[in-house]
Amino acid sequence: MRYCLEIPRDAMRGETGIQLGNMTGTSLDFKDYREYQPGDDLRRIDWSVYGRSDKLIVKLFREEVSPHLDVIIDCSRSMALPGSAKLQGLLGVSGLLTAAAGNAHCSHAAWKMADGIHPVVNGTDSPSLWEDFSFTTSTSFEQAWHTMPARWRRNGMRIVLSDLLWEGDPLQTLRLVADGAAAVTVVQLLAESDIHPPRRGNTRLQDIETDGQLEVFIDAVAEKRYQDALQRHQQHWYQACRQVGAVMVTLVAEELVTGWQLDELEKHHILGVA
Amino acid sequence: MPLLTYPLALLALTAIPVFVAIYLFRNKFRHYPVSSLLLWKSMFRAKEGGSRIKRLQLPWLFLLELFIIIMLILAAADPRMPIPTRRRMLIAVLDNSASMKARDTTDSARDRAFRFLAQEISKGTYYSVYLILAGSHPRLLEPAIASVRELTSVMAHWKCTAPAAALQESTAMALELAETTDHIMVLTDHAPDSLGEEGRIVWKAFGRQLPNAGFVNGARTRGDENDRCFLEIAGFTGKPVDTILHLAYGPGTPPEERVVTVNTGKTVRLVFDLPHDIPYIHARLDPDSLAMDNELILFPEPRKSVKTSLAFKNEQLADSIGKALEASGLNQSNLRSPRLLFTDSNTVSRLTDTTWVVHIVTGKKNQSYIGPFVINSAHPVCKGLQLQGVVWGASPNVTLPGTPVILAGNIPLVTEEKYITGEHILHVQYAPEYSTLEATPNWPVLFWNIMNWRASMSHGVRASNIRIGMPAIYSAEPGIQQVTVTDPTKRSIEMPVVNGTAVFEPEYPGMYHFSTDGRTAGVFGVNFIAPEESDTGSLSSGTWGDWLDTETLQREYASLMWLLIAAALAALTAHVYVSGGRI
Repeated sequence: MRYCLEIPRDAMRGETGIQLGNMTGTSLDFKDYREYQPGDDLRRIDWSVYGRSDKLIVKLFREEVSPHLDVIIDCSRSMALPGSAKLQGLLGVSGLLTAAAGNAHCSHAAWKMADGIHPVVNGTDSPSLWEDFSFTTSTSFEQAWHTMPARWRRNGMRIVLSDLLWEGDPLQTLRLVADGAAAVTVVQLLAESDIHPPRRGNTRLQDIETDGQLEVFIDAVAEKRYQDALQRHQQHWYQACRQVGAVMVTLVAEELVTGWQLDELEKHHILGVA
Repeated sequence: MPLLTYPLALLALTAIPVFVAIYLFRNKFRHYPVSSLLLWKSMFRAKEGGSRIKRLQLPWLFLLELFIIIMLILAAADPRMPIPTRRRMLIAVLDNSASMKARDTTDSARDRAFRFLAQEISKGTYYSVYLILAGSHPRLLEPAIASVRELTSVMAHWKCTAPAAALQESTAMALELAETTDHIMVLTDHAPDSLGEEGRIVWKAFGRQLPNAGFVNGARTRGDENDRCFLEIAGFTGKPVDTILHLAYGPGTPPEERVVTVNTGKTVRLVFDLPHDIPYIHARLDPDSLAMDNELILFPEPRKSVKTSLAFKNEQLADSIGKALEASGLNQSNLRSPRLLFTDSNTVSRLTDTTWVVHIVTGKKNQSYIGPFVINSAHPVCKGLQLQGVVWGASPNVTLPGTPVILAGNIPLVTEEKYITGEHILHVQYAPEYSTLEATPNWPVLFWNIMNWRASMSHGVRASNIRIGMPAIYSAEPGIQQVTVTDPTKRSIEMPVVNGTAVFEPEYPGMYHFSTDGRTAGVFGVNFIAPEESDTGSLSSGTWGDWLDTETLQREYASLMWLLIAAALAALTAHVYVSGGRI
C-alpha cells in the first residue's frame, strides 16, 4: 500500500502551481466577484463592470497551490521524552509524510523548530539523508520564530509535527504558520504519559525541557484535573485551527509505532492511498 | 525542678518517630519526567485534591507540628513546678541495727547515711529535724536539731549495735510526730517490705552486699560432769571461705585455733564439753565486714537451788509435791529458813522476809472442772502448761485472794499475792481426789515453774549469757539501792535497784560485771546473736517512695499544663498562618 499526500484541491492550474487551493489567491482561475474594499489590488478591478454599473467590482481568482510540502518538526526536548515512543513516532511520521508527498509528486522540505526555525540539512532529500537532528531546546514556536523566522514556500502545504505543549496563544502561532500557506495541518504527537498522568502517590515531576520540578501528590482528583487541563489545551488548538482553516490531528506515539496505523491521517484527508 | 503528675503520658512520645516517619514518607517522591509542567501548573489553581506539596514550607510545618505534639504530650503529663512554701520539719528514722556498721574498705552504710542526712539538712529546707533511732525499740532523740553541727553532736547516739531495727514501729512514731506537710525519711541499709502511707515516707537504703561470717548461735549448758558448749557459725560470704576460729578457755590461756570452712547460707556447728571450772570460753573469728558477730563469750549458767519446806496435813499431797520438787533439780530442803514454803495450812505466815509461800487450798464440796481454763500465759508459773484434757478439782465456794493466774471458768484455781517487799504468795486451790493433774506432765511442769521462778529471783545475775538487745537483770540483796555495771571498755555505770532488781541493757557484746559496795557480785557475757543482721549479703541500696501524694502535689506544686496548651495553641495558629489556612 502506497500513501500519497492529499492535496487540498485536485485541479492543477497556472504557472506557479500545479494544483488549486480553496483560498482566493493570484492564479488565473476566476473564482468570484465582490465589491472593492480599500486595500484591494487595483489591478483586480473589473473596469468593464465599472463601466456598465458604476460599481467598483474586483475579480477574485482561485489561489494557486504550489505542489510543495514544508514539514515543521518540533525539536524540543519533550519530543524525545525518555521512556516514551515520541521520538520514534515523530521521525516515522515526518518521514512518512515526506514520502507520501513524493508519491503525490510534491516537493518537500523539512524544517526543525529549535532555537529558530531552520531548514534540516538535506531536508529536501529523502528522510534517510536528513542530518543534524538534535532534541535539546526548550523554546516555543513563537520564540523560535522571533529568533529565526522560516522562509517557507508560498502557497505550499505546511504540516506541523509537535506535542504542542508550550505556553502561548495557539492562534498567534497558527497565523504565523498559515501565512502564505495553501493548507496547514497540525499533527499533535503525544506520548501515553502525556495523556495519562503517573500513578498515584507522591511524585516529583521534572520538566524535560526546563528541568523545572514540581512535587505533587497525585490522587483521583489530580488525575481528572490533569486530563481536563489537557483537554482544554487541545480545545484551544482545535479552535485556533478552525479559525485559520487548518486541520488538527492528535496521534499517540505508542499506538502509532505499534502497527503504524494511519487511520487518523486518512480520516482527516491528510494522506490517501495511491 | 518540675515533676510530672502522670509520667506515663510520656509514653505518647513514642508517637513522634511515627510522626517523623510519616513526614519522611510524605517527602519521599517518585521521580517522573514529563514533557511539560504546563498542564500541571494550571491545575493547582483549584484548592481541592491533588495537593501540591510546597516543600519550602515543610520544615516549618513539620517543626510546628512536632512542637504542638510535644506540648500536648507534656501537657498530658501535667508537669508541675514547686511553689515556694513555708519550711517544714523532717523526721529521720535512723536504722540503729548492727548491719549498718558493716563496712567495706571505705565506709559503712551508717557513714553514707550520715553524709546524706547532713546534706539534706544543709539545704536549709527544714526548720527542725527530729531523729528516731530504730533499734530493737524506737527511741526519739531529743531535742530536735536544726543544723549539721547539731547533727554531728548527736550522732554519738547512733551506735548501730542493736540486733534488730524496729523500723515499722519507728515509722509509726514518726507519723505520730509529723504533720501532713512534714517529711519522713528512713535511712537504712535494705529495701522496704512495704512503705504504706503513700506520699509521706521516703525510704533511703545505703547498704552494700558484703561477705561476712559470724556467730549466729551459742550456748553453754550444765551437765552432770561437764558443761556442754554449742557454737554455730554462719557464712554470708557469697562463696565458701575458710576462717580461723580462736577459742580461749578462761583468762590467761593461749587461744586454740581451728580452721572453719563456711558456705553461703550454711552453718557450721561445733559442740564440745568443758569442765565446770572453766570460768568462761571466748570464741573469736577473723575480722570481716561486720565485727560485732565475730566474738562470742559464754559463762557457765549459775547453778541456783531453792531452799524449800513442806508443811502439809495431807501427807499424800505432800509426798506428791515433794517428788515434783525433787524432779526439778533445784530443790534443797531446809526447814528453818526456806525460800519457798509449800503448805496447806489455812494460816499462811512467812517465816523470813525472803520466804515465798505456795498455799494449797482444798475446799469443801469440790467439783471436777475440765475447763475452760483461763491461763495468764505471761506469768512464769504458767510457762509450758497444757491443761486441755486435765481434770482439776476445786470448790466453787472458795475465794482466793490476789490476782488470778489460772481459772476454770470463773473459779480461781491459782492466784498470786505480792508483798511490797518483793515476796509472793501463790494460792493454789486443788482437790486431789477430784483431779487428774498429778497424773499429767503438767504437775512437774507447774512445780518446776514455781521453783525456777523463785530461783530466778535469787540474789545475783539472773542469766550469765544474754543476747544483745536483751536486758541483764541483777537481783540485789535486801537493802542494796544501787549496783555498778562495768562494761567491756571498763566504763562503770551506776544502776538503781528497783523492787530488788537492777536492769541494764548492754549495747556492746563482751564481758560485763555487776558489783555492789566495790565487790563483784556477778558477771555475765553479752553476745551479738542476730542472724538477720549478720546477713550482710542481703543488703541493698536505693530510694523508695516520695513525699508527693495527690494532695501534696496539688497544694505545693503549680500545674504548667495551661502554659503548654497555650503554647500548643499559639503554634497551631502559626501553623494555620504558614500553611495558608490548610491544616
